[in-house]
Amino acid sequence: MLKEKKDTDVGRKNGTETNVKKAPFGNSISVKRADLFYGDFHALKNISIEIPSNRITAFIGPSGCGKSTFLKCFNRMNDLVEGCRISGEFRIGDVDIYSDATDVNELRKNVGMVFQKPNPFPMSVYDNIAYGPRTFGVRKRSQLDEIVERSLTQAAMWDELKDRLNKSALGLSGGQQQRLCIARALAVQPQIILMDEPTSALDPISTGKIEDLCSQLKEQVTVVIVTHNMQQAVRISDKTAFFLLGDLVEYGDTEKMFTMPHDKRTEDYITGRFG
Amino acid sequence: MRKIYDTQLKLLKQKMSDMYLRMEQSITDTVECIATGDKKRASEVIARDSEIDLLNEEIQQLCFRLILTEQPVAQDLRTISSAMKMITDMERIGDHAEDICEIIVESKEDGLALDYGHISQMASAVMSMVKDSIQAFVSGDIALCESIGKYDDVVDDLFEKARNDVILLIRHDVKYSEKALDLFTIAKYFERIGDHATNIAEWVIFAITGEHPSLQ
Amino acid sequence: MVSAKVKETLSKVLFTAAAIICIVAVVTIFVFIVAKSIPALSKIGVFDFIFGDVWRPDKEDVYDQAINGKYGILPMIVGSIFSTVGAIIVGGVLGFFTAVFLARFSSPKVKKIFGTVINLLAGIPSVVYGFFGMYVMIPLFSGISPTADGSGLLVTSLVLGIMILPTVVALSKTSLEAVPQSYYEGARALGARHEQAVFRTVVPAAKSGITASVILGVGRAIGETMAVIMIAGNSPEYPDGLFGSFRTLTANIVLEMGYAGEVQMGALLSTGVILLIFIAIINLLFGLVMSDRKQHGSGRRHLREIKYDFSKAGKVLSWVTAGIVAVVLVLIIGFVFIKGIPHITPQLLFSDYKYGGEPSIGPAIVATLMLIVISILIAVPLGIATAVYLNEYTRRGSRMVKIVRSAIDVLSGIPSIVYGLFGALTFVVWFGNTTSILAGGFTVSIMLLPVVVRSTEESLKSVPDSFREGSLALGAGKVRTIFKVVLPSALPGIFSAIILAVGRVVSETAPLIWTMGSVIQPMPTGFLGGGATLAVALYALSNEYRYMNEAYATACVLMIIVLALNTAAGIIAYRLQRKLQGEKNVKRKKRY
Repeated sequence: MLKEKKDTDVGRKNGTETNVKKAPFGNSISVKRADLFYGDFHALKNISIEIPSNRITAFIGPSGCGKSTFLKCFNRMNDLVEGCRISGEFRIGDVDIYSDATDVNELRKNVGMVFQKPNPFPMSVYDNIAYGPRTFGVRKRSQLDEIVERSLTQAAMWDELKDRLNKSALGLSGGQQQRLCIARALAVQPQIILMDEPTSALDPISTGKIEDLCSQLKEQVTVVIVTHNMQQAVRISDKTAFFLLGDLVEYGDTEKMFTMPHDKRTEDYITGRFG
Repeated sequence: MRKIYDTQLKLLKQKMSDMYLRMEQSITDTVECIATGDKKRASEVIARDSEIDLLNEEIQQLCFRLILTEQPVAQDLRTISSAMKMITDMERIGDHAEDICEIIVESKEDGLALDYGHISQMASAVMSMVKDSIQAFVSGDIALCESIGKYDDVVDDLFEKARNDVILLIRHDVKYSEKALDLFTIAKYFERIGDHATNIAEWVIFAITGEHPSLQ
Repeated sequence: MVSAKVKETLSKVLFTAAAIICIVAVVTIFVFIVAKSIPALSKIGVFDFIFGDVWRPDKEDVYDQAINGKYGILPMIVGSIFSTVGAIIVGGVLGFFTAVFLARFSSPKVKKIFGTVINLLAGIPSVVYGFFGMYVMIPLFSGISPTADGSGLLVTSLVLGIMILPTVVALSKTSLEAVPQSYYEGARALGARHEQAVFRTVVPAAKSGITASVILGVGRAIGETMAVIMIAGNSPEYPDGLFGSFRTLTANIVLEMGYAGEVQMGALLSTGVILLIFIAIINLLFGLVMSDRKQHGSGRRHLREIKYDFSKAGKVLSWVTAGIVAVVLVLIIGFVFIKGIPHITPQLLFSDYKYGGEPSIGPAIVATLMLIVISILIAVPLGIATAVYLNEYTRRGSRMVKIVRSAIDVLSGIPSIVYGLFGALTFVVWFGNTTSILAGGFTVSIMLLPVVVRSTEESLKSVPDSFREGSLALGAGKVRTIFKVVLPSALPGIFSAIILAVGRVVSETAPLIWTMGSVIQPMPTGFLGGGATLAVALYALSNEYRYMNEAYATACVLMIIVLALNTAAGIIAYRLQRKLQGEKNVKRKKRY
């Protein structure tokens, strides 16, 4: 019973969806009155936000404003942080992700994450991509081959890497590593991808490739990206949220926010006259 | 924070008002020359146009540099992008003033004044539009900008009337036909100046609100 | 199929259990030894025991009758202290100046080679040092000794000094190198010469680290058993001059354990307690120095300006001591090899041994291998599991971590003979009341635990958190993350830990003599049978002057094995590291 379920889980064949299990999570995010504490420190204050599906939403704000912390609420990575308390309502699609009924690992399968520093595992390119599917019970080699090819194609790396699948992922350049991490996240077919400053450690060319990739990805997934680079937010995002000292100061269409921000604090921050 | 950037922005505004002042002077002179036929003063206007062109060039360079180096957003983005549009309109206004003055310089003494018919009314209407646009830019007065749009309709009406004046003049006596063409050209230039003044008013509104309205 | 939740819980229980076993081991050892020593202490009297001048045990003494023997260990306490002080004078001074030389005076190439060789010294079994002292140094000193016997305090101090050298050098060097380069540059910028900058600025700044290294050396010297037995003379008296025969606390235990009567055994256990107290004091001192060092960094204390400039003498001394140490190194290694290699014969290595026949170390090699198998099978899984528990399942600074970690620290500080004492009274009794490979294996396993736990923990710590986050963010559970990502990444460290552990098993002697066997024996009959490891065989052979050549050959084999293991540990760690860093291809059949 369980086995059958898992087989169908990743049972897409060459784009035609056969037997696909309907994922329990949707691809939009809705947060109502969220508060987050680290011990006594009130890191996020009464935040409500609706993040639309198949769009790129950027979180901007000065260091320590809580944007990364907020991002990590969506796949419950904050569970790993000691003394972190979260209240409020977090919904992905219709599912309350902090309810007891939610399986954290299933959640993280549906909400992929890409980190600030590329973190490929010390394994081959192939095994990196196959890590997620294997975690969820895919064992058949032919199936894994398909997933690897699909994920790398999606991440626009297939041609670059198809002859290097068996080489260690750590031998790739920083930019390639980061795109590999995106491909790795895509391998389990998430509905949402969270990116925590994915290009801050990369050179401009790699950054450009990842930005292009993000724009292509939004056809299939919802992307939420934390960035320090305001130009990047302008370039790739459809919506932007500005955080300051744990408050969500302003949230709206990116273009609007960068030509005519409503809040003086947003204006000061994005024009660099902050503080 | 961002001291150099702010200094540059200040410099931009400074140069903008330099350009404005020269343009205002040109328009005022032109309008007066039409009434007086003062060719010497008209030559001064022609000479001044190169200064305006130079300022246009400088401001454009400055804006490019600011966009390149500072990647302006929000208020700064609006200021700089509207400045780039406004200087184009100011430069065109300067050019038209120059064109009118060239006609004045080359016109023959034949007993027919250049402020013939409704042209003098157009001239003063356009002059106040230009002055108002400057006022609006300096004070950030959106209501004033909107009133400039209404002026433009008046100018368009006056242009129709001036055109009829010219047609009547040619019908009256064919020997005035050369003069009549000059008069019509002048009227057309004033009409264009009015349009540019309206454009300026629109960009002033954009700089303030982030919305680009259509005042025409 | 086991559900994910059950798997997670089960793993957590197993890892926690491993950590608890470590705590239990420590507590058991302490409680056991203290409890067993109480009847003897109350019979003898604590004062008479510690301050008694005479040690003359009577095998017939039992607890419920009056005792006839004398059980005063003051001579042994004095002996231990004297030999340790001697060792510190030799090893501390040599070690300090050698460390200064390596850290600040030598060329990088010399530093690399010299450093590696000194690290190898740390791996050489103590019985080999004892052997060297016995066969090389004692004859050398016999000429100048008033008793015509070269053994005693001087030789012991020298040998112990050489033995603690690696400890002192390694730690001092590290702390000298950790001194910010800006201190040195600052001094040079003020016009100080190189040696002035080193001795007046860098060395004072590294003072606490150097002190700590010496304290660790003290710990090693006071706990040393085998080398001491072979060269100290062993009579239970106060050391009388540089060549006076004396006995240390550790030697006392190993010498009499095999045939001790009831009260005598209790007295030996009490000796163990005294030894533990010494070690506790040393650990305490070490802790104080280290915490002082931390405060030092925060700028609470400042260095005192040194009034006299010894830097020139220091420079000369550095070169001279480094030269001496180099000569000693070459001497020890060269001597054993030159004397030993010609006598390594197939007969010695591979033939079985019959009682009374020609000595052979074939059985010893087999017994060593069997001991390695047992102790690695026990200590490695337990140690790795404990390390995983400490590093992956606990929050930093939790009480459980502190308890487990101090248990591990205590385990690593206990002198090996105390383990032997414990093993002989527990494991030997459990496994058929006779010395056996199994009993030896269990004893050594406990000793290996700290080695495995610490180095595994270090390598787990070096696995970046981003790997863990990456795996968790892909929806993998904790268990999968640990087994598929964290442990494979930590593999180089774990591998070298295992090899170091094997090296330790090969070199250990003291805890095995009374748990596994002390004489050369025929081929082991099984894990429940007895056997002597190579190190024990060397000890046994060197006590019989008839078989000197065989002893040299055995020492030689032992050293080759230990050196090979150390080199292998280095190479494997390096290889795996490189592979993990992606410079080499991961072997897998190509599919595309």
